[in-house]
Amino acid sequence: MKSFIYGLLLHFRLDLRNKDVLITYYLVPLAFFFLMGGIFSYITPESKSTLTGSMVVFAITMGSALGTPIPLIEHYGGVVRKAFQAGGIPIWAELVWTFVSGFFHLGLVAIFISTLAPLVFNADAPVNLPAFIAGLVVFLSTSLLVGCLFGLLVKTTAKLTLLSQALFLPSVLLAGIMFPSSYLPGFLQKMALVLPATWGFKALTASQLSWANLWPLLLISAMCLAAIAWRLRSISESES
Amino acid sequence: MSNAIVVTDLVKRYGENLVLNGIRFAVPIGTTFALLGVNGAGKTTTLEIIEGLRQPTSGKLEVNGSLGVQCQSTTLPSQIRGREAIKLFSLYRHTNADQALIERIGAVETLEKPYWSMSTGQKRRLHLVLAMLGNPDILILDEPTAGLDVEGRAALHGEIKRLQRQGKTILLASHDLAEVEDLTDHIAILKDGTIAFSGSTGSLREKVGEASSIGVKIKGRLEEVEKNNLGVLDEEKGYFYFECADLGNHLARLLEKISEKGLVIEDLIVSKPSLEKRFLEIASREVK
Repeated sequence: MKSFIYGLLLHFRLDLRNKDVLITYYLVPLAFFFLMGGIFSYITPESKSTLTGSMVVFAITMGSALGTPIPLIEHYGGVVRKAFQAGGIPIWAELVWTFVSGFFHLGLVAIFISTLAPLVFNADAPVNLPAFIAGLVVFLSTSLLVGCLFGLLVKTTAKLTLLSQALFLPSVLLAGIMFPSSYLPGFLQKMALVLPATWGFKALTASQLSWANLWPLLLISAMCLAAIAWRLRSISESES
Repeated sequence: MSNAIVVTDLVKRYGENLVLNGIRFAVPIGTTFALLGVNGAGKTTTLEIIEGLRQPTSGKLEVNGSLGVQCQSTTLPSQIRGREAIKLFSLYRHTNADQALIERIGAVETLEKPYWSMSTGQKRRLHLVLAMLGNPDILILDEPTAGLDVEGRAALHGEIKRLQRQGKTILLASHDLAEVEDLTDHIAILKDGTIAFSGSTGSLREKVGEASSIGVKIKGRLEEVEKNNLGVLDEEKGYFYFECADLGNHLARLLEKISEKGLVIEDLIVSKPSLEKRFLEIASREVK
């Protein structure tokens, strides 16, 4: 357990030293928050009711889709895994460290945005804090699981960019965080239902904890977990 | 139990590609054993099966003792520092970072450096330290001196000799034949997924024969007929080369022939083929 905890703390530090991770976990989401938060709240004052939720969803979606897979690609796509396995470190350790470390990093950003949005932009604070926290935990976990799966599926950052943008851009445009999804044509509204960001946005802006907003996220998480288990096994067996 | 590693009828297949075709060898406890072969012969696959990083298609493997492994092509996270990697691996091996070991291998300068900024030699030294953490019974080194500078090679050779004196078992794969000759007791040469030769470096010389090479530089030009009469095998930089099994008799006869033809010798070179030449001979044809 001591070794696992050390590995986790080390991973947390390595994430902070990795400029790609730092940019996608902290820099861009916070810059977007300060810039777009100001613009949104000035142009459409009614957006203040959902600003906190939309900025948190943006930050988590960006960090998990573009940042979380980076250390995993380095580890599983390259030959770091071999060195770790030869040193007695289990194959799943890097995956769990990445998930937990990402949870803390993006959780911090979410707390930062949730605290500052009402103060800086006069945005509405979460109406139901326990519901907000529950929604945040579930959405953050689901997003990180999707990011972890991406990190296991591709071997190069070039391919990751394609895959991540295929999730990130529709999430930003269709999930309702930039403009109400009711403005979208019906088929795009239906397409948006497969995106974690859609359900995350609903969960974080709801006044009450609603199972209807959480079960799609839990379903996506379960599917990702199954795919991750399959991928880890196939990575292990592809070498053997 | 006199063997640290016993490999029996090991087969490894990747789809249709047969990489190892029933190889068998044993590494006695306390010996240094070298696995040789040209690229693609199956050395790394064999080592990685022994290390547990790959599963064999069939065959039996017995490893008696704890393993320390230095893979040929591994890397670490780019941002990790040497000290952090050593601590992480030490914790997983339930041991403490050995400062004396770090100093002996010459890895002190890697301790505070991020992995991405280390030179190839520094990375190799760090990986060696990681392999040797916890004082393993058996050390597996895949191309351990690749990329090392002279100082690094000397430090590593010194460390291997120190481990040999301690009675450690070392299995190494190397392209450096001089290194192999200097460090190892036993050699196995892999060719096309099979063991083409297994034995001591001395028996390797005996197996292929004790042919010597004679190089003669002759003043003036040598006609084609005369070359054939003398039995010239090769010609390079003004030297005519001959090969013989019985050096004493052959050299005397050759000098006599040259003298009879009225030719004047400018220079004479007699050499024994290196282990490298023996290795290449075996790697290109199987010794029966």
